[in-house]
Amino acid sequence: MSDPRDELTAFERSLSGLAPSRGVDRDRLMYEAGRRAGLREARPGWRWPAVAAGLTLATIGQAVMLGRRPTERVVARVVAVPAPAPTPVPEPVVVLTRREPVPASRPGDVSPSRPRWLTARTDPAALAETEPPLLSAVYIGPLVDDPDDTLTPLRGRVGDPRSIPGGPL
Amino acid sequence: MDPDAIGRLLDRHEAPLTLFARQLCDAPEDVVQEAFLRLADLDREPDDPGAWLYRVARNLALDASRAAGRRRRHEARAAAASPGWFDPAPIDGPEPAEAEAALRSLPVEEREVIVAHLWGGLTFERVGRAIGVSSSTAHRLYARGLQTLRERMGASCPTRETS
Repeated sequence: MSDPRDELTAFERSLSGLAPSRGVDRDRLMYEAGRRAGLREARPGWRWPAVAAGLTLATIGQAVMLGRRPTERVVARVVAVPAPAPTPVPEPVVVLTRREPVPASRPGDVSPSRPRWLTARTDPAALAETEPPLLSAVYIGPLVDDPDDTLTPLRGRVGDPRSIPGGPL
Repeated sequence: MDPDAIGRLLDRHEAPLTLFARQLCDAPEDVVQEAFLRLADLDREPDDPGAWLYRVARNLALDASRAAGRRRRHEARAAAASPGWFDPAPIDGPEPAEAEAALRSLPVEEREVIVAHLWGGLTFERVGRAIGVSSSTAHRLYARGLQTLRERMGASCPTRETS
């Protein structure tokens, strides 16, 4: 780039020969420039101050909202709820099960002088003809619709309120 | 910016820039120093540091002179305390005080262009960029101001020998 003063007239050249007085302290300026550069490097960026400012605003906002929170209102409302229909309770039934009758023994095996209860202990067949069949179990509870009506409750079904498995009474 | 580049620009532009800022405010030294400090704060050197410095110095000087009351209050004191716009001239050169007086009599727009072109070494295009006018306007202001200076200093020279 050519210096425009190369094309000056004699008057312009003589005028430009005057040196403007200097007023700036060069050393002070360079020192100040270095100081500002140091401050700029030590200055934190804008991110952390922005985050801090945002959190501060959020905290203030929450505090304001907490202070202005409306009081709780108690609203009485009548709601009609239909009462549930009573569940019919099945009547308890008593089921007696029978043991299969023992085949009759030969006549004459039982001594007439021997007591009958003793004979039954030793030979149940002796009682088959004279004694009624013994009960094997008693069930007290609701009637269950089951083809095996007499035995099912004795197997301890779930829901049977009272099942009493047992042997002969 | 590189401190060496700052030093070179300081050597080249400090004195004419001070004279330039002196046309607009009472504290040109502060304005020039602030302009150089802002230049030093830049991450990279501007494309045209000279024009950049003149533009920033002009804005700073205008800001400094906005307080008209303060300016008027300090004007007389500053003028009295000022060491003069120019250093003592060589024997065959124009008288500094006479040149200063003639320059003072010009409108500020003409003074800006004359100082930036004659002492700052900026082309009219760069002067226009610095002060916010077109290069033709800058040239017209310069020619008119120079003609006035010549008349007031008693010189009789052609305005320009080449185009």
